[in-house]
Amino acid sequence: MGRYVANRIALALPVLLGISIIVFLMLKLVPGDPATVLLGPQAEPRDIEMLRRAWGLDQPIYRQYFTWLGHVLRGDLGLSLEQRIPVATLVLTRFKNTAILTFASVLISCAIGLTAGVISATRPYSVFDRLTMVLALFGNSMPAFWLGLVLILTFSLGLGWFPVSGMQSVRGEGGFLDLLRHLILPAITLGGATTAIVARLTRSSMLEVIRQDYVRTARAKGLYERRVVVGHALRNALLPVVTVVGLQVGFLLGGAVLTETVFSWPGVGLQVFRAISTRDVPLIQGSVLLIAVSFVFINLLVDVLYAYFDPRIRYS
Amino acid sequence: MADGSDARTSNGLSRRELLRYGVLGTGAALTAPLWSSLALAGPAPVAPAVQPKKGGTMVIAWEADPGVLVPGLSTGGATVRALVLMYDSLVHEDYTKPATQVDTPPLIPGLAERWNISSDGLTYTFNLRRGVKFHDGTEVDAEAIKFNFDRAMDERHPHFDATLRSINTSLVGYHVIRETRVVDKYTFQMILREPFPSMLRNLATRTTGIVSPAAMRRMGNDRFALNPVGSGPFKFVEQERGVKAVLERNPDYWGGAPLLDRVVIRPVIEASSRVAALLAGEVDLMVVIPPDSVYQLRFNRGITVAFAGPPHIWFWMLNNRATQTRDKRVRQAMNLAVNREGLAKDIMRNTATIAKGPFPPGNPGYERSNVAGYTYDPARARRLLAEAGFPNGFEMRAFYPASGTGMMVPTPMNEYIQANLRDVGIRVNFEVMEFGAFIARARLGLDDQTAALQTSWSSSDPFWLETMFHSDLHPPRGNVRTWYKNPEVDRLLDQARRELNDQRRLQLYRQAEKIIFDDAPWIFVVHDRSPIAYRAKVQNFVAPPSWSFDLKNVWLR
Repeated sequence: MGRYVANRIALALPVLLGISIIVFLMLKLVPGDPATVLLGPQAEPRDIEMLRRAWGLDQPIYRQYFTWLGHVLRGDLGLSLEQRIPVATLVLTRFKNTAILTFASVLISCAIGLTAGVISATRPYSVFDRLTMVLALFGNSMPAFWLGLVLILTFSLGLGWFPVSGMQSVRGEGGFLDLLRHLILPAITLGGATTAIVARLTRSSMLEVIRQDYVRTARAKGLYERRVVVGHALRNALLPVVTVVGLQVGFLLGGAVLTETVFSWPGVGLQVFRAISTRDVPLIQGSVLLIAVSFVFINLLVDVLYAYFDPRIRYS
Repeated sequence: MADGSDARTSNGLSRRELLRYGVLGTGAALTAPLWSSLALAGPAPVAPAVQPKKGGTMVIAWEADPGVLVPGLSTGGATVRALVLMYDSLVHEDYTKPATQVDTPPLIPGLAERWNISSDGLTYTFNLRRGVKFHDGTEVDAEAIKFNFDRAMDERHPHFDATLRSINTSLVGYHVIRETRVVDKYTFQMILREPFPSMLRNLATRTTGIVSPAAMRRMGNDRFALNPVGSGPFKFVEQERGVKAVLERNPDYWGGAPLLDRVVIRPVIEASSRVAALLAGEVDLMVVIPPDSVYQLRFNRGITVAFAGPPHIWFWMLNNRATQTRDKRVRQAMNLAVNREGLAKDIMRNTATIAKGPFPPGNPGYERSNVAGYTYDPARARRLLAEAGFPNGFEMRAFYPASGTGMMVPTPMNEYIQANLRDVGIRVNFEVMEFGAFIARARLGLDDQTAALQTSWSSSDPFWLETMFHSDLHPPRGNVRTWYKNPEVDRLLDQARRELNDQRRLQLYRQAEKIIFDDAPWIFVVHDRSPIAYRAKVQNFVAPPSWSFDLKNVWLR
């Protein structure tokens, strides 16, 4: 197992290198550079040229890339061109915020999705099943920005239960409860689609497993139905669910831009979006690198979880 | 103007209170404009007698993160607005006069108490205010001022910053400064290479804000950016990028200490979320209101909407070389085809005023401008097109940015104009671009296949006509992306640049404006009124004709 993990990590390095090259090249292909964007449409060409030279943007592309890579290898992600803060500081703070949001949303998704999926599968074609699946379709189809605004209108402006935006109250004392109050609506918004996917996937996967011989055997042994469903059927039905949830976590870590925008959640997605608009190359590179690392790590975690859920799977 | 009442009731003070306010010593400079605005307004609004109260934290929602809070490192509106609260420049714009009262913020002394410009227009002598302290306790003297100019202009300076140089060259004209001198402890001198009448107004731009040399030497440029030190009405406390920037009252401010304890700036990027945060009371004031929310906010009793009317113009640049738009009759026809009133009312919900010519409000050229504006006349537009050889209209390409500072709501606005032009037979095909890509392409000038681009600009100095219409400034040298060329306009602009008498100079610009209006190298469309909304507890807020505002006299009920 240890060797397997070590192998996977070693394999991740060329992946990360490849990603950094592709992102770098893409940034160079897109028209506009940081100097033009920073100085705005009114700037004179003379001023833009001065800044381009000062930032080394007049150097050949390969040299710009290797300069950046050289710094990264020495553990220096550089300084954000626009924000004048070390990229590592910016990215790590933001990444922590996005991670909080992502894990809260995945927690909600799994809790609701798994329960709904299991109940639906044990009572297929019942009213509950049909209702759940319609709701799931709805949840999957709703765009995050719309759902977010509806939740704000209803629960913040209408009922006054939750704050409208941000991660902490700027007037209040802060603390864990304050964070929780700010977290609920964005987590539901972000988790909407994942909940639906988990529910539908759990249902279909359970339906398949529940017809297997060993489930019948378990029942024939006289086990309680609950034990049969949770201990025998669900554990086996979870494999595809774990795969998809793992992918979703990776995806949400980098792709929560819309939810972060609607709720002013200071996450990494929002930051990358701004960095792309301002062509802040060091910041984009740093953020993408971290998102890629987390993707690789989560995939690895999913592989390890396979072995836990299905002891037949052994890595050697 | 419909907005007059808004700004005035926003003061929420009666004459008696104002008198008391003056007596309380909050400053005659503040009282006078309020007094005269109320006098203009007729009967003063009846409000319970309230004394300005010290203290409290005001939370403001901005459209973007202000980012790095050091002057001259960003041109973004959100940053400059914050700099105005934290820093002083040699000269200031007076933001205590509302847009309903003045078209341009008057220039007033800042760190310089007095100044003198030599008769040849080359030597600027500034007499500094004595005893002014930076937030770190060190004194603002002529050496400190020189340090700030040097670090923007001299590459060998230990605290040189390339961004600062580029931004202040571009916005202020630092390249015109030949040298700066410390005459004595409180006298600072600036020698220009050539007369540049815009210099004084440009120096009021807070990208020239003066930072504490002692703090910068102690921390170095990078760490200073995390703990900026100025001398303005508010001090920097802390900043979490993308979350908040916290400022607190500078009790020793030379212009009188602000009433608020703290100001918290929160970036809330999504416009509807910003409106929701204001309605929920999470923030006390918001800027950049989406047109569709303006009525909702205006009819909410607990909220006031004021209109700032900064120097802004939103327009189409027309290609003066392209086959379709080469003839000035075509360009005039396009101007006649656009229903500006409809656009301002139906799409912008009165958050925009119609543009008559190239000058924006807040620019001295705008006041008493001698152009009448193109009125909506599709029939005449069709006739002009026919005369120009396009009886059946034509097809053309245009591009615009999907978003960006000052671009307002580009898609609905451009589509409205597209429909207007279609009515007279001009079929416009758009390319919508991301902002960075847009700037990169616009900088090259309009290519032969593209007849127009839409953009927006902001300038409070008439010199701006030169940067937009002088044929020496065709790309890549400058920003005359229309390839417009009229020798008479060039001559007038050259003459105006050298003219030191303000009145005569303005006269020359107005003559040029008239010719430009007739040549119609642009479609002059609208000006942003830049609405600002705030909750009832915010007292004494003034929306000046600028993108920025002052919070020194604001208090919370």
